[in-house]
Amino acid sequence: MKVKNSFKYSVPVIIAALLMAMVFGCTEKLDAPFEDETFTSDVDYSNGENMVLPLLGAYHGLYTRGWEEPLTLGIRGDDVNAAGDQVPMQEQDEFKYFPSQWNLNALWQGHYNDIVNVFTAMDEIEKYRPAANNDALADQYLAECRVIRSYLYLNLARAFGGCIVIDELDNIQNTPLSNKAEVMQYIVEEMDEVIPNLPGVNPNKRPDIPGGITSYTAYALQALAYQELEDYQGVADATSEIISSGEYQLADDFYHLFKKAGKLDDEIILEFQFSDFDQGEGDRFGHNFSPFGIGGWTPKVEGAGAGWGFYEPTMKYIKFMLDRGETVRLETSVVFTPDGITEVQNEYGEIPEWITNTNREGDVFNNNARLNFASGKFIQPSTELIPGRTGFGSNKNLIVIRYSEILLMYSEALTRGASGNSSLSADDAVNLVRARAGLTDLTDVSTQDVLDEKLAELGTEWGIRYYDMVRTENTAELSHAGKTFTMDKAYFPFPADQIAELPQLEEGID
Amino acid sequence: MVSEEDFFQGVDLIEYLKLRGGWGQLGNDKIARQDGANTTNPVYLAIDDTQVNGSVTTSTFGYLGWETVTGTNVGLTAEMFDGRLSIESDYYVRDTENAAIPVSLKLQAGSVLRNVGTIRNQGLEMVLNWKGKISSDFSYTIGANFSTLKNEVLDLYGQSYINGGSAEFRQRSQVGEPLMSFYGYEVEGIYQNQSEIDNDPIASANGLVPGDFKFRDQDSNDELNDDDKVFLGSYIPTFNYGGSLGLTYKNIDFSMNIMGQAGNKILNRKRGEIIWTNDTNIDADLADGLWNGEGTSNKYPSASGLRRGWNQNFSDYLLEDGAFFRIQNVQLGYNLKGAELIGEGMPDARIYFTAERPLTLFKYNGFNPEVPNGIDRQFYPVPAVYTLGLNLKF
Repeated sequence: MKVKNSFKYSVPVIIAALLMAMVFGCTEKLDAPFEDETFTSDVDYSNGENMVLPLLGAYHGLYTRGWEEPLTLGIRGDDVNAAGDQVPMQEQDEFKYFPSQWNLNALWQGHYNDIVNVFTAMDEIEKYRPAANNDALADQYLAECRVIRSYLYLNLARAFGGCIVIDELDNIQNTPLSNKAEVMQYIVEEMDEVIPNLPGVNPNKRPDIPGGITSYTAYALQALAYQELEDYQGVADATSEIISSGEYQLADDFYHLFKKAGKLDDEIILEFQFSDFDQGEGDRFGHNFSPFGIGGWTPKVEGAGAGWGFYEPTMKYIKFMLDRGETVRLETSVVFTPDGITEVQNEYGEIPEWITNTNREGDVFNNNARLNFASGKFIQPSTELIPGRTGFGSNKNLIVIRYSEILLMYSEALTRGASGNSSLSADDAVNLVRARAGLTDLTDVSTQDVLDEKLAELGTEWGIRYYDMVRTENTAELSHAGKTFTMDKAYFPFPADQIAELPQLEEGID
Repeated sequence: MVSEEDFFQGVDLIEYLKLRGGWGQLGNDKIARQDGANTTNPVYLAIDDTQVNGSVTTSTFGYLGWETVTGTNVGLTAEMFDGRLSIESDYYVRDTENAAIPVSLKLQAGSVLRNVGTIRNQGLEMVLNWKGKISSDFSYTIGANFSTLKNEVLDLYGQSYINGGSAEFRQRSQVGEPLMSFYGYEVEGIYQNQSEIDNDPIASANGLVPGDFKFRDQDSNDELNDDDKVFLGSYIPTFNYGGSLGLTYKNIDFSMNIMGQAGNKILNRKRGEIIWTNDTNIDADLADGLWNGEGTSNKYPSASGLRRGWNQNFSDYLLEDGAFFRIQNVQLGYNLKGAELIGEGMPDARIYFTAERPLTLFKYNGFNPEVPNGIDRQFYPVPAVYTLGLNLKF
């Protein structure tokens, strides 16, 4: 009984004591962080060699593009049709835009993820700076980050007609919208600042990061920004730097530039690098090329994965190329199916005999419900797969900016009255590109000649054609195959979701 | 203790009545310590066909502190009719301060949890039990319980709303609304014919065709934009209920449990996924109910409409009533007393038949109305389990 009694009396006392303890002890506890919480990261910044890690993290962000991004940027031109079952892409191909289209938001967020990533990478590089004890290298890394960032802004502004240029990460809500011209001006100025800190070599000559950013990547972005601003002297100046450096050469073999042999070619100014690391299984770092591929192919290498068939060169482009007597550039850019060949014969007439539905490597492209033509620049022959790998395009790089584009931008600027700073004339620059394609020289090239050359050379790549037609307000060219383009359709609307988050987007661009 | 007060002594029907009141505060540490906090993660990439390492540092801060829950409740416990009826009832108000709410990142994809609000849960809980005996051989118990729940965001520390969910299927927390309510357009109907399109400025401006959704123009300004989005419901059920029935007659016993909920919405993302690929299967109700000419449907768009961007705006077309009723289990048993029946030394035995979840009733066009956080991205149907058993006791 005694035990029970003492228990009976002590319980209320203990409870009361616990309650008191709660009142005095607990309130503080509720505000404190968790016991084993470490709010700062454990990164060791004393090892200066690791300064390259955040930089490579920024490259990682740049290279890892969603499959929908190059498509969304590329489908609106008269060189490409959206094919397959992607409704928003088909709508956009017909210049029907809705802020709710998912790929617009994905494009926007995908780019901003990597822009924000660049900001944090730059912070991290600064943290390593003291230990690295190499200010020039730290400055170079920061400059590379800013080039990556500018490339992403360039895409956004060309696609949406403007974007938010982030000043501080925690001030996005209050950062005003910049229109396209303002973004381009920002890129021009950024590149001016970073160029002195970057190595002046072809990217493939960088020993530390082969294929990385160099000063000529920055000049190329600057030239593209000037071009959007229609500041053709600016274009001529920036492209002249690239041309007169002597660091770049057009690849002799146009076809293989877009294949395995073209990785880190002298012609390439910017490419996203991917690899299977020469092993049949295990780690790989790749881009999803499937949307460029075709569903029904009979690959030379049995078991090679098929594609999705979302990206189709247009009949208009094919006729244009046939009219010009193009050979290797047509072969490289367009993959024909039997139905496609019949369609061309019906619509165009006789076509050269070399056009078949089999590529050089022996892959056979069969009839396909989604498309009659596929985009060869993005299709890796099955024979280039490392044995053991079957993913479509596994091990293929994605080329972004080529020297031929620079030559043609230079040439166009000169035809518009700008003066060049290199030994090349407008004719010379165009004829270099034509010679590689097996075409004869032109004389007294006009702006139109150059724009045509750009279409032939750069067709299906990254919306380059579309931007040219928007810049020159050539609504007639973009209105093809029953689609009607007007200048108010030049830019995608801001994604609905972004407008909801950021009131400054509501007004749209001026 | 009301039933022991003097004034209560004359009340015969109620043997026991206690009124309760309580207040308490507790910290909820059942949340992640941090969410998307500043972390540095290794990544690898390919440089010149060589695998190299890099690091990516996140910029999203979500240092999470404890949530503080302040609860107040009043309730009563009573027994009546010779102990046959017992009642337990509580009305509660629980305020969660520093509630961790998912906040959408600006410009980027994703969201991060932050302690940014105060949320109130209030409702009435009631449990009733009735024990009865019809004869010495036959007794029964009936139990019922229900609870109501009103979830409301009280404060977001100065922000008018916080977006959550994914971009395509927006959820929003706003003061005065339940947490993470679905937010989008309200479907008014389907455009039935061309003249309806021609007479509607929104339809003509967007190039719509018959068979497309007509979304409600909430502010009647003949433009459909963000201002026309409204709260479309919450995934949080407002009413939960359950019940039990037990019968014992001689050696036979029977029991059954039921449960259910109501007042919640389910986001049928299985229908929504069509925005990414046309290859998904569609459910029977949608397939059979598609608009295919004037007057055929005012609820579902045409087959081609399903695949047009306009109709893929997030709307209450994708939200369905999440109410369900389920028989959770039923058991029928028969007890055999071996010693009495057959003789000394024989074991006792019990034969029983159990049905687990034999029946679930719901209107929702998915396989299972119980989906976490109200978002159905493909859940398998709940299996019914039937068991026939024999227990022997030696």
